[in-house]
Amino acid sequence: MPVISVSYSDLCKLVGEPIPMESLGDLLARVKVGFEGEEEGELELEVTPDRLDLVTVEGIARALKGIMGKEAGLPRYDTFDSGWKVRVDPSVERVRPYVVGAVVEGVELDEDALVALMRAQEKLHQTLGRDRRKMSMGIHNADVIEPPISYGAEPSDRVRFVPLGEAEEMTAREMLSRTEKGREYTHLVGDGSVVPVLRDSKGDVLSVPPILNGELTRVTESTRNLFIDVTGPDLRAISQALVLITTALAERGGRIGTVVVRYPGEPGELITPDLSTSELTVEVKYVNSVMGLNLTPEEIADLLRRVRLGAEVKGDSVRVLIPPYRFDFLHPVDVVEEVAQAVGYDRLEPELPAWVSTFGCRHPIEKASSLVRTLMIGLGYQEILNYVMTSREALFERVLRPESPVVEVANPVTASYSVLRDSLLPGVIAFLARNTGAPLPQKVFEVGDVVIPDESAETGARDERRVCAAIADSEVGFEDIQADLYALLRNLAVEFEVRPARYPTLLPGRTAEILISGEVAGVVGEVNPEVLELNKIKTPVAAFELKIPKL
Amino acid sequence: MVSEVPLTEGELRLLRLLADLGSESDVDRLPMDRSAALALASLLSDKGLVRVKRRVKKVLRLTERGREALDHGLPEERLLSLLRSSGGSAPLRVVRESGLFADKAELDAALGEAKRAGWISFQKVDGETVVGLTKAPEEVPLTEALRAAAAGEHVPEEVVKRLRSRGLVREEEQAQFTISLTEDGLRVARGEVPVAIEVAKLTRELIETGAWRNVRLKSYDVTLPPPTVYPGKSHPYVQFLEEVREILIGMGFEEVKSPIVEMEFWNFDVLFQAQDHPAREVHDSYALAYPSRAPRTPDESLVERVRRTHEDGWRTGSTGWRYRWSFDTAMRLMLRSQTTSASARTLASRKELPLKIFVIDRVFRPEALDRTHSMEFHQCEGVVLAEGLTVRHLLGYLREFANKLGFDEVAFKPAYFPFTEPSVEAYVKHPELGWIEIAGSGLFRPEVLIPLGYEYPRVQALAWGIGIGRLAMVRLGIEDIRDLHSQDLQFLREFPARW
Repeated sequence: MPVISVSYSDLCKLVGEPIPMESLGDLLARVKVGFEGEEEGELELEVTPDRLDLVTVEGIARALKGIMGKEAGLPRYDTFDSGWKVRVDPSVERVRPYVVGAVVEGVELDEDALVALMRAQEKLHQTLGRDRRKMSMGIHNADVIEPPISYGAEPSDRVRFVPLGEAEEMTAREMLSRTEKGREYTHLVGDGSVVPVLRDSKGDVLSVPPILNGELTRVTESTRNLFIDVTGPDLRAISQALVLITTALAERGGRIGTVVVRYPGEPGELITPDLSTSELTVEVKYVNSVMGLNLTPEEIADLLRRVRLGAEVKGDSVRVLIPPYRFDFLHPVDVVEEVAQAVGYDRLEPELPAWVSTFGCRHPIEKASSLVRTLMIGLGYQEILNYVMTSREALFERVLRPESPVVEVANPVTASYSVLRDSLLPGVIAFLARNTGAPLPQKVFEVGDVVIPDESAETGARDERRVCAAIADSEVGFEDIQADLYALLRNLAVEFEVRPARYPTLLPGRTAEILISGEVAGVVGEVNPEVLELNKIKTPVAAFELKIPKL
Repeated sequence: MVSEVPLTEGELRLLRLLADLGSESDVDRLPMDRSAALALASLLSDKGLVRVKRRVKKVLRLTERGREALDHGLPEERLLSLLRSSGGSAPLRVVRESGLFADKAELDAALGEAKRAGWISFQKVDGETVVGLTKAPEEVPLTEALRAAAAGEHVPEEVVKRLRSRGLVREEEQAQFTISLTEDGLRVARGEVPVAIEVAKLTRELIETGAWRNVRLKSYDVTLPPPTVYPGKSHPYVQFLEEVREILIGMGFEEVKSPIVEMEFWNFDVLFQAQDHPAREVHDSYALAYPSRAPRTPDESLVERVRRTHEDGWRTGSTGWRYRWSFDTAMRLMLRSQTTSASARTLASRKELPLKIFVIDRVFRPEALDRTHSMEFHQCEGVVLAEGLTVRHLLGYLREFANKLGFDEVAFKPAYFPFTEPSVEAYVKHPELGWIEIAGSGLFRPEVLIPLGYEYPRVQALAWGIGIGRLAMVRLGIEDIRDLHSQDLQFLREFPARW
């Protein structure tokens, strides 16, 4: 979930009235913004990933004005033709193929606004832009640019400019290695020999996306007119970003000027940003059937206007107009959510459906596990719990098992948790090794899943529920653990056979296999003193591990 | 002195032992079980034959963190060895990204300790902060103290204070007893006074022969504490999960399961999570190196319906995500990252209505294990599938469940989850912690239900999920998520069975 910082005073200014801090949390919750805290006038807010229009303070203010009844319905954003053009050169096709742009005139950029703009840009880079990979935007002082603008790919050695925040001119290649942003994002431009460049008609470098703008077009508090470029490999994502940022600036009084972007091939000529609205029609009956309410068409339309949608009653339906900055409407159910939000969930009376009558039960494996746990507890064992994720070392080396294939993750955070256990015993032995100082006797057991790679299983591995028990005491032997295992098996009323076995963790000559229906279901024995020594366990240990039989 | 002293065999044995050893004897040095010796000594003391002296001694015990530090080194020690191995200095950035420190707090502690001790210094080199070794010791003195504490050896008070303030040790009181004979006791032990033997244990033989009528049965001091025994007991966390299971079964829910190694298809695609959804990126779920692809594919027509729904909405009335859906991506294997995969599988295979199912199982996400994060944790989720369900019914089930978990007040807020709409978060009021979030919930989207073969919106599915581990921590009063899988036997043994 994106977490954003906004200035409290800026938010109040944009809403047009001071909002008492006490009621701020509740109001924000009603527009689906989480209030995490306030420190020195800075609010920390959490927004949901479907609502990128709320990562800007202007967007939050726009939503709050609706829910507070200060403004209703679709916000109107008029545009004018700026006369600016961006020409796309075929050379960017393989580098960073798409660009869109806009001009915004007459923005009052005080300190709050400037900070908000930078934060919005940064947050959009992280979220919609997936850390600039999918989208990055440059914001420029339009007054120093002479359109038309060209967007092309050039050898990085031949692009010379003063990058934003630097004092001297350098090549784009130097910029990649010498500036912080250059180093951070160089992986987005391949080997860095060719970079995308935006230049104006004088040939001045405006930006080397997605890395850095030029110092030339730096935006300050005295800047009034902006040019915004958005580039990336995904035309939809960059178009959305442009809409989000320009409509946010319009909330501060900016006038949005469209720009003509001309591509050599598809998609041809674009006029950006595209601020057209889309529409959806919802049936009143459907809204009420999901909500469990009995709202009239007029009530629904009114509620929708409070969440800044356009709404018009058409008989038994409501025609909904969706503003250009909302991309989260896929289905009429998304309109229902808006109604629910406008009503407020705390105003809905919870109820239970009398006609839904069902009978509950445990999963059979949990039923069997519960029985096994009861018996093990009755036999005096303390239950323990280990993780399913573990390391190869813990699973094999430390208990002297030869390696065998186990489920392994491709992106472990640490080697300690990189594979899934295929046996419980190594974890139980490791547990005893960590508790050598605790009073004896130590009788512990674990019931849990192991995961066995299995070509015949649907997902190439199967879960198996097992029980593993161990006794550590100054004197303990095969017959002690065997007695408990037999007690368990007898009480589970399963028929079993026993035969001598070799199992590297256990002592040869004191190890047996348990067979149920002719298949090996478990192993019992004394832990090999070599394993004890390896784990610095000073007492003998006897243990068993058993697949929990189907009951 | 009376003419005849009533004694049990055990008491007489202890008197003679004490006489042999002479002067004062430490209970722990007697060749006798400690608790038995204490019980006997107490009886003899009542008879004026011995004196028992009790002294309280403070002993140090290592905490979980202390044990960890002993095994893997203190944070500052790890810092020093990192610096040593990188030639005496390293940029702060490198130290931070070394992965040696669980979190920022631990790194700060390491830097702070080492700086205070004068082992390191900070310098700015090319605008970057560099940490350099100055005169670091071979071994951090605190480690020595930690080892001494673990071995029960003496540790100076000021060092104890430091160990304690860093949460490495805790002090426990241990009673020590010494026993010495009184004048009378000595005489009895020497046989200078006649002794009448009392019988301590009523045996089968005494009863069968009727001899119990003729012996003197000794009186016990029934107020004495017995030796500590540890019963066989369930794990508190498992016990809590069992309690939740009982509640859900009581509410009419049937338990279902799904494999830990799962296809992205069931974990994401069926749930209408777009293939470029952020949750599907490597830092949010575990991809598998082995096995990596599902050997068997799900029902072809379901796959086709899911593909269409993602691409253009198919017949769901949705626009879909408008991208090219990849079958290969859907067949990749991963570790189950949400229990919803079990619900999805059940909804795909069972078509009866109404259906109420729940899942309590482990899910896996790439997180570093620390106080508040874990790479595997339990989720609990429930789904109600029936005709005519509404948002208010969702709230009804959530309220009912919260009430049964012991929370009277419930509040709801709008939320976003990829596979539900509308989506709601449920909060409950905890007497000490205030409002806490317990569940994410919603009505399954038509893009989920329709491809699974349900007639939406006539049939609706209410779904909610709980990070049940966090709730367990609240209920069990545990603050470190690692304690849910505690590796400390005494912690488990001493954890009460009722909370």
